[in-house]
Amino acid sequence: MTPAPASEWVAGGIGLALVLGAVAFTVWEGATQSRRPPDFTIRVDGVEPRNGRHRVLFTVRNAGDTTAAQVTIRATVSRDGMVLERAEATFDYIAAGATRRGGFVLGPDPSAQTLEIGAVSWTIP
Amino acid sequence: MGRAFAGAVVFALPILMTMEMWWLGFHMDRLRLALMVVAAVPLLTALSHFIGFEDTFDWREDLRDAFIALTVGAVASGVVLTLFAVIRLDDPPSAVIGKMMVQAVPASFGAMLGRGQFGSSGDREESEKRRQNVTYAGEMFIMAAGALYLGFSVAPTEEMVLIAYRMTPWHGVVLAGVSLAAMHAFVYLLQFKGGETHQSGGAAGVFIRFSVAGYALALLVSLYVLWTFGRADGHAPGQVILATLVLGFPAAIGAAAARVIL
Repeated sequence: MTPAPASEWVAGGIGLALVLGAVAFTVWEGATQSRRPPDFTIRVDGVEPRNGRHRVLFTVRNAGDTTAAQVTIRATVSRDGMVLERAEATFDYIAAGATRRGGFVLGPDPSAQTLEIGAVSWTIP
Repeated sequence: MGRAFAGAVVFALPILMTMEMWWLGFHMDRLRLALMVVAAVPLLTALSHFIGFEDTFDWREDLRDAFIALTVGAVASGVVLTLFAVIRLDDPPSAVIGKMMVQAVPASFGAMLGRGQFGSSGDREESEKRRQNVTYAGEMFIMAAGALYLGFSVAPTEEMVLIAYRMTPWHGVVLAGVSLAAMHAFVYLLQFKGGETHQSGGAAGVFIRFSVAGYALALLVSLYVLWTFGRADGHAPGQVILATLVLGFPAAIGAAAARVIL
């Protein structure tokens, strides 16, 4: 029985480092995470005129520690407290710490009115 | 050639009937799709060396067999998907090609393995002989191929990410331990089978050089598959690692089983 060549030990060592690294990171996450509920922040990426209407692109980020499912994002365009138009977009999942992108197509020019975009509901998968 | 088609269909049917795989055909990143198909060529070439359509010892013949397997995989996928009305004549060309290509890779593995599994007893002895001379790198390759195959067939489903979303990090840690234990159980099984040729270094040595290295390989393959399918995009590192550990479980089983089966 010949001793195993050094290359095999190197491969095993790299493997050990990878596995321990992944496990250590997961343990660290488990120990430090406080299981905060989903918390959404939304950024408007751009408003462009499109066939007489306005396309609004946005990025939503889940800053919580919990993944949310069926996340409904609502856009409301209003002027002087009067609602001109509402639109909704639904994301199947937004994982903890993940970002997702979406869009709305709105009639009134959002840059001339008050545009509010926010998460209105979600479920925990 | 008939066996290659049979192998392609047998191995790819579960994912040919998975709707997430059809969707990936039109929405997955084109460059990642192209990279996956290109990366399949050296993998199939090496796989051909171990099992193959024919008793090839020449890398050029292995390379030719790899392209045959890919072609068989693409054609078999195209035919079955057309039969299921998943591919229709009025679909845009990029969607048709995408749907075929994403399935062609696992189907081509099936085409290659079809020859190995349905081969006659004479071939089996031949491959048994070759199996005895497999190097450490060869063993690692067989594990990577097994991980890729089983990982591939579960990765596209929504359940894959849903499981990761439901799990806490602690579930992930336990799952890593279970995967590694399952992997080592297979290695141990192979020792009893008498096929194991790399015995030196003691029990701990075998654990580090085969089970741990193999599991790390399965995790890397899982990460690659997740990235290819866009499952890691926009996710925090912790979620990516958790999803990798989830996919790493079937990948580890696939890797270990491949060494026993091939």
